[in-house]
Amino acid sequence: PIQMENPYKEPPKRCILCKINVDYKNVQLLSQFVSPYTGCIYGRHITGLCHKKQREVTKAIKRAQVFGFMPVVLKNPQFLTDPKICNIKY
Amino acid sequence: QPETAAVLKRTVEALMERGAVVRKLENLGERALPFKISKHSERHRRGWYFLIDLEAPPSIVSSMMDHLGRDIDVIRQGFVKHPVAQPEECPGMIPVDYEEKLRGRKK
Repeated sequence: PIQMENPYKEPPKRCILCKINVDYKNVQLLSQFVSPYTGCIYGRHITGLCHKKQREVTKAIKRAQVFGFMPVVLKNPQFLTDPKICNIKY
Repeated sequence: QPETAAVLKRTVEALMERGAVVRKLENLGERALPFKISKHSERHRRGWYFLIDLEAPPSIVSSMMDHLGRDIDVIRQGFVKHPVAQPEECPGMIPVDYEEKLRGRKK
């Protein structure tokens, strides 16, 4: 038998933020990963992001909260009706 | 509105004094703050957001934070590094083998 790489391999799965540049200024994107009731940041098992992007998002959220772009204990009511990204049931 | 122009002018002059090169000055508009901020014995609800692009030696940071902290018209200040353009080599989500991870740490 000839040794070769698995020809039926699927391309590796990408997380939803793969090609998107995460910035602390776009509050709408960041608020989608925050709970609307308490304002706490969702963990990796809920958002389904890869390690790098999850860390970037967390750092951006904390930065936006310190600089006064994003509220801390709640979600901005403007962005409450955004489509659901995270794997959470209310 | 002339007050905001005066504040900007003051900050930019202070920056130039300490030897910083200002590249861009962006105005992110006036919005309601996400939470009420009390600074210098005054409670603020609305504010102007400005973003200044600059190149400066890092020794400026602490003196500028001091200077801006003493300015009554500045509500909140902060310095952020320019995001470095990352190499686009994202390998995608490889399923992590938790058992291997645990055994590797256990020794």
